[in-house]
Amino acid sequence: MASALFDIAAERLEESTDMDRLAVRGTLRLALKQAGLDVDNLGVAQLRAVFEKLMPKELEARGVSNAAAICRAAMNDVESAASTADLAVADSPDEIFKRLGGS
Amino acid sequence: MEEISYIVAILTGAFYLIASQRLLRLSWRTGQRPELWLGITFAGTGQWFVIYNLPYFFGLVELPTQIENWVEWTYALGVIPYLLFIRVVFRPKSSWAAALTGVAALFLLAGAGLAGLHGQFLNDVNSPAYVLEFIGYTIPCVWMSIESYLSHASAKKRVRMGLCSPIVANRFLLFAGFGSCQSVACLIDLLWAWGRGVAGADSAYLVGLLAATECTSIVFLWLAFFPPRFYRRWIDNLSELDAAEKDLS
Repeated sequence: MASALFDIAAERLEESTDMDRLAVRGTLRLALKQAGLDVDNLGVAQLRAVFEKLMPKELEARGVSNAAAICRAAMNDVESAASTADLAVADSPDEIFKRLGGS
Repeated sequence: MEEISYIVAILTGAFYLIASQRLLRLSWRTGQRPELWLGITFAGTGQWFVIYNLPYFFGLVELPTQIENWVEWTYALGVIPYLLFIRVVFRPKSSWAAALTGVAALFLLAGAGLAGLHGQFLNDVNSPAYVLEFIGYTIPCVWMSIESYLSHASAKKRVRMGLCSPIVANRFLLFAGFGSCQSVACLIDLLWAWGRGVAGADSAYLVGLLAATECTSIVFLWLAFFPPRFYRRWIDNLSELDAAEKDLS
């Protein structure tokens, strides 16, 4: 099951582009996979990095013009639309392994 | 050869106990479960290595059966928190992971229970208790190895995105190495038990191999839990080189 943050981000992109639901979600999943991220346990900082560094290129490759601006606006919407509960992520493996080694 | 293997085993046990104490203190401070599970497992493993090997090293009489059984029981049951650690860290929402954890825990409980009924732990392939326990403790070793390798592969991508530190990504690889060494140790243990049960003899080569895998495991854990400054610098430099190569290509 995808995280609430993923659902909100996909909805915002779907509203701002001509792409359909399936295409938007598929593109977002591909970008997350490229970034080594897990759809089920997605943090807002991680999503922002994907929207800044990967999604513009992915959208342009699918014929979306002005992709960088769309991604910026969509990310702002995501941050304001997401509730505190949506933004809270479970303890990720990265966080746990960071603690184990004391850094 | 035997004396060396006892020294290696005692030092290995001491390391597990030190790491366990650190993990349990961390868990006390953070209130988080992963460090608690791993700390309990390491405590169980450490006490097994130390209590089991210390009398042999000093050439004392064999351990009384009750103490030997207690040590074996705590060692076997100490693997259950290890399963919980792997599940909580890598697959917290997965139903198959929950099922695998349950099945492996059942094998361990059944093995320990059967050995308890029998009144003795036998390191012998002809003993059903040994076979059940063997399956129970091999599952988490192989599982840890696979999950850590997969996590390392995705962590490398996150490092390039600036979402994960190189030393944490490397820690996944070290745990993968640890899991692999433990899986090999399980295989050696099986060969040893087969040798005892079928051929009726211990093999000095297997004892040596087991000591080598334990030493390698400890090196992996030492670098993961207590990374020295030179190692951290080396990993950071490797990561910077990798990023520079990516920029050029």
